[in-house]
Formats: sequence, structure tokens, C-alpha cells
Amino acid sequence: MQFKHPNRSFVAFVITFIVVIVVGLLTLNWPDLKYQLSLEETVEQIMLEEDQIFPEDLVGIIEYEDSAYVIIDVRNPFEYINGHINGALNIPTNSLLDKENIKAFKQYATDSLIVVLYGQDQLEANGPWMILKQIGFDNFQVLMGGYHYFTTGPLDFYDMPEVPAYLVEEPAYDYYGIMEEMGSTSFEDAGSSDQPEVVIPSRKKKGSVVEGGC
Amino acid sequence: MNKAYYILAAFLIILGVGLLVLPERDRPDEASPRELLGDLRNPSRFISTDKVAEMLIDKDPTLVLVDVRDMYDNLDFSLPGAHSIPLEEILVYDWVDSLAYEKSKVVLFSNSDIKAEQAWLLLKRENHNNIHVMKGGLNCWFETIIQPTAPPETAANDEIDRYEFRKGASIYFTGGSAPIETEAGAEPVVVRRKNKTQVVEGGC
Repeated sequence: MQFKHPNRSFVAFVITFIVVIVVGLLTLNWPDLKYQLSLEETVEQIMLEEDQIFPEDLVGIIEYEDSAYVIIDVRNPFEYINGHINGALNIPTNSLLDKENIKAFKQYATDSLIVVLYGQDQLEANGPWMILKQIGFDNFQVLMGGYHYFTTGPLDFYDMPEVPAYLVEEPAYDYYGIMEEMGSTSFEDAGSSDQPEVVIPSRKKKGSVVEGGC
Repeated sequence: MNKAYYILAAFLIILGVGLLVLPERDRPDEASPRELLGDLRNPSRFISTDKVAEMLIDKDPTLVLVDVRDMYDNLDFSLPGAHSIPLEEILVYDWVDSLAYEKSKVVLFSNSDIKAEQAWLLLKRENHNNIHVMKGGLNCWFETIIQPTAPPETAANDEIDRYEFRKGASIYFTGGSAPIETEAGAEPVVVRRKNKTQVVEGGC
């Protein structure tokens, strides 16, 4: 009945139109986590290798209960219950980006606390660190050697070998020396060319037998 | 009535201008942080050194090895046929398109697996598939393939079989000790043959 008036039906139309747009905007899935670093910036950050903490430094932090540090165990709860670094919180990798954790991390950042991530080995905490770094958390560090080294390896600076075992990206072997010692003359195509090289001389000898037989 | 149309048109124009002002998403095809975290939980990105050795020996054409260490390290030693693409240049080249075909298996490696995994995460954010990480890196390669340690005699058959494979692979990749040993063993045979030829020569 009211819609018979042209103006009124038009107003109703405009109102529904606006309501649709507003509802659409509200329900639009805004990503709550955005990358703060571009891929190129991430590469730069990785190459700096600044966000790694030495196990011997962590010993001091735990001993003096340094309040500037928060320690987070990213392993699963079972591993955490079986043993963890004193004072560490347990946030498994798969729940790191949960809303309440992100909120807590933001709080750490405003309090300018440094967060130390550790897993069983360095690799386990490396991925989580990279993701958190890329979404803008600058205050995270990775424990070198992880929990395994922290509980087994020598932690006294004076007991350590020249290249401690937690520097996993250092070559543990003299690659070139071993390859040479084991008889590879050119390691680059050890698989393709060296093998025939060993075989070829004996074939030549066979050939010479045939030649001689003629 | 007319007035109302003007209002509606003005409203639409304002919305349109809003669309112009919206910031451009520079890489709309990037994987989100949550997707990356999900990928991290999937251990299938790792490939064992045994598998890599097997593929190299079989001369598997789908295998693309990528050494992400510095050029300097690469000069010293690298896996046979590996491409050298240092971590800082992993995004510079369009190498993934040129090397990685649909069915190829790109395997990243470094001295351990930390740098390789960092490279993997970067490529994963760019939404590349078929990228893998060699578990343990070159240190593990030397530990398991080049210098394998014998399992105890009580070990399971699988383990002994694996050790046998690794011993063979070690010989294959070093081109070294064992073939020389067999050559030494074959030497008397060679000497005999020489004698034979001499006899035949003498007979001619």
C-alpha cells in the first residue's frame, strides 16, 4: 500500500541497497595477518643472521631470570611435558598464529621483550621464526642447536670445540678432502665420468688382447 | 523522483572513487601466513639423502638439485649436476620456471637444512609447488652416503640392505676405493692376458 507512492518505494530501494553494501563490507573476510616484509626484505633479514641466540647466552638468561626475555617451546605438548627449558611457555607450532597468541606476541613487542623460540633442533623453530618475522614481529630469536643441544652439548664456553656442534650450517666434514682421498679426481661429475674412467682402461686392455690375437 | 536518482548516482560515484583509493595488493597470489604455517607441519617436503642418491644413480631426469649455499662453498664441493643458486638470489632468477617443469622434483640443499628450508619457505610464499628440502643437507650426505657406518649385526634386514645400498652409492659417487680394489684383484688376470698375447704374437 505504501509502495504505491513512487518516492517511498524508491527510498526503500535505496535503503536496501545501502544495507546490502554495509553488510557486505562487514562480512568481507579481511585478512587479520598481513605480511609486513616483502619477499626481498625477508631475504635481506635472513642473510643478516641476527636473530639467532647462542645456547651459552641462554644459560645466563635463565640463571639470572632475565625479565627482558620470554622463552617459548614450539614442540608439541607431549615433548614439552617430558622436559623443557626452565621457565619456557609451550606454544606448539600449529597454534602460533591463533588470535590469543598473536595478541600476546603484540604485547611482548610493546613491552620490548625478546622472545626466544626453540624446538627439538634449530630447524623446528626456524620456520615459525621466519613466518613471524614476515608478519612483522622483530623481537623473535631462534635458539641455535635447539633443545637437543641445550640438554646434551657442552654449554661452557671454554669446553667448546672451535666449531661448536650447534653451528649446523658449517661443514662437518672436509668435503673436498674426503672426495679426493676416496679416489674421486674430479668431484663435480663424480657420478657420471669417474665411474667409466675406472672401467675404460680395462676395456682397452681387452682390446689390445684382440689386437694381439690377430 | 529526479532528485532521488541524482542522490543514488552520487552515492555510486562516491563508492567508485573509494575503489580507486583502495591500496593495490601487490602480490595477490601469495600464500597467506596461515597457509605457510600449515605447509610447515607437512613433513613431505623433506627428501632423504638415500632417495636423492637413488635418483642420481638412476639418472632420474625429473630431479633438479639446487645448491643454495654461497658460490664460494659451491666451488669446493657440490652434488653432481647441482645448480648453484645462492639463498640471496633465490628470488632474483626466474629459475623456477626454467628448471622446474610440472613433474620435476626440485630439491634444495645446503650444508645442513636450515638455509635450504628458508629458501623453501620463500618459494612456498610465492606459491611454488614441487619444491623439496634434502633432510640433513650435505653433512648428512657425507655421514650416510659417502661414509656410511655399518649397522650392528643384530640390525633389521632393512637397515642392512640400506647399508649395502649406501656402500655401493659411496663407490658410485666417489668413483673411488672399491673399483680400484677390484682392479688390483684383476691385475694378475691382466698379466696373464699379456702373456697370452705374447704367446700368440710369438706364434704368428
